[in-house]
Amino acid sequence: MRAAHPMLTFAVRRLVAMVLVLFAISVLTFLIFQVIPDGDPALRLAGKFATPQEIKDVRIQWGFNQPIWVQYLRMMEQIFTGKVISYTQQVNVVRQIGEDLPATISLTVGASVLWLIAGVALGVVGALLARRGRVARAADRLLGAVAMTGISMPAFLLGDLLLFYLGFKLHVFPLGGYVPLTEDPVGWLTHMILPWISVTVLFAGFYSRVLRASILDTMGESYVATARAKGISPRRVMVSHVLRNSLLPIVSLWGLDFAAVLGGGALLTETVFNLKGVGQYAAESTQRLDIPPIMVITMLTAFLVVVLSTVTDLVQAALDPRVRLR
Amino acid sequence: MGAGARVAAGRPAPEAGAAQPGAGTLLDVRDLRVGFHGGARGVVRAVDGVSFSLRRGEALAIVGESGSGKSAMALSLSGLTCEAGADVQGAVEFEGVDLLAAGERRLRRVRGAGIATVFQDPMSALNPVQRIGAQIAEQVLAHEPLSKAAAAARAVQALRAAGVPEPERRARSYPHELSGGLRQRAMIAMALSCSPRLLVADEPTTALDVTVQAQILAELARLRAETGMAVILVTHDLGVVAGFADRVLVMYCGQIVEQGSVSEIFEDPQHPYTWGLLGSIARMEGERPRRLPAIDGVPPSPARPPAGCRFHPRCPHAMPACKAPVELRDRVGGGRLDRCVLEVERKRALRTRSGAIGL
Repeated sequence: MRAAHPMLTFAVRRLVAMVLVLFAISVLTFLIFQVIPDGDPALRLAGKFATPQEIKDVRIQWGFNQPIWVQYLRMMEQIFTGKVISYTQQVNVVRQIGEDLPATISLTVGASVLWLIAGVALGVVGALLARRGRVARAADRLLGAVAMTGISMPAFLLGDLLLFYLGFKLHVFPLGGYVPLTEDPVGWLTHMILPWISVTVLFAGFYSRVLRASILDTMGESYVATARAKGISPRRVMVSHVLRNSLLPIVSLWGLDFAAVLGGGALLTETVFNLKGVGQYAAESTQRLDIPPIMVITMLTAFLVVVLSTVTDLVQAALDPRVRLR
Repeated sequence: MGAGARVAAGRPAPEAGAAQPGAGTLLDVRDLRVGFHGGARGVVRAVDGVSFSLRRGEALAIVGESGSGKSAMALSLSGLTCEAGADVQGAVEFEGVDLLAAGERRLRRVRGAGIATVFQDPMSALNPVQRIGAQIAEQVLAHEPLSKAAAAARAVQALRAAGVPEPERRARSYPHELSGGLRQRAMIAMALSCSPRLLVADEPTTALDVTVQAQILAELARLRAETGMAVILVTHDLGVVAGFADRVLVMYCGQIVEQGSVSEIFEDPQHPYTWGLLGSIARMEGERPRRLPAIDGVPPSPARPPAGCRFHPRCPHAMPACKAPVELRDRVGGGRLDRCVLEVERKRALRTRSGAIGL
């Protein structure tokens, strides 16, 4: 039998993986909400002052009395036909997420570019400083401390501090909210800058440490000594031999983080800045124990992670000839 | 034709270099010291006062155990240990210019074009994400005003000269697509692409299969004969030295313990450490020992070298005089140097072990 084209094998493998991941994550999420205390959706739907009979009616009307796997299948059917309705607000969840996505996309695209640039810059500077004299090494340690502070800074604290000083006191930026790019580009920008900074601080510190370690590792590689022995400029050694290789792990990291934030992963930041994005919707739905939006957002995130990891694998394969797509 | 025969054919007689009029000195190393910062142990002197010189076209072998400082010494010649954070002192005069005092730009012009380096492990010495041809062309472009196409053509030419089959195809390959032997040939092609006057080969065959080792050495010998470049071959294996080098420099714990022509070192070695090295070569002729003899003990740490002759704690012939500093000087006559206080005639008696030389 002739071997299939490697690209086709790769695509099929990833599609199968995606189906399996979506199935697993949806079952798991669904089951969690079956067992958590106070999670009975009929109680919420019937309202605070409902009689036992009303609750029973709601249970029958929404199908909560049916076997659990029937409920799961019905939920899946509704999700994939786009007819899923939230329990507490009774709005179409897919339509709601569609309305929330522009804010989250704005946050993700802007912040991911910023945190990549800041993380790479800080990582390179740190690695260069670490190889110099005493004063430079002290500066590198200071950078490390700053990065650690950024990594461990809670989003709600940093966001609130930014809002309080730059928004409330100095009136440089608006006090949260989202303005669509299509309506008012300048307003969009001023509303997005603080959320971008907030997410960037969170990620750039981590990226800078990963890259710094990767650069220092690569500098010890024998092929970097070969590059130096060729008589090319130190800048060229650094860019086309050291950085070219040490950036490879950053690519994968970036793809997965991008997917997580796009799937509503920055829920704290979105909530603090009242961006009304997918993350904020996820946070609010969790507070209300509203299962349908949580199911949809969790599956959306899982879907995005699988897609983006496929994309980063393709990029990796393009950047590193040793990588075989499987 | 065997590889050994090719080596012999390609190698000029050891005396030829000296007799050539105007051959001149290519490299003059004086009192080279290389120290690495070893944390709590302070500075580790990997190389401690090494001096030697090299004529144009000469092949010099630097021999010693792991940790003897031979690699650190060889890499310091073109300032490569300096950038790795080593403290390098002394003088390395290449074509009349002291490279240790030279600036970065000057050094860069020498690297690759004047002194080329081939590293030990061809598996890791090539950039994994760049094509072989591009890596060679990068060096050519750094030294010569050529177009990219001309540099690429030069890379193919260099690969062909280094005995790489299908050089056009191999130039487009990535390192992981090549065998170890081919990669080392690619490294040699890169080293020779700018016609250097000196090739420093740091254990170029250690990471290769034995059969490939012989091919690579034969290739180096042939290329040396063709180009007339000088070669410094760093190795821990005296066996590969015999067919290749004109002169041998034996290093132990950061110092030269003996220096002489190949025939002097193999037939009349002066330092017991050299005897030990010679005694541990597997022999094809004569009585074979049940076990290959080894030198007892372990090399001392260069951070705390023994006083006097650094080999004396491991030397079965050590005397009280060995604990005092021993000078590297000519004790036999004829310009060869050693660092052993034993009388020459006594050495000749002591080193004979069942018809061969041993410790």
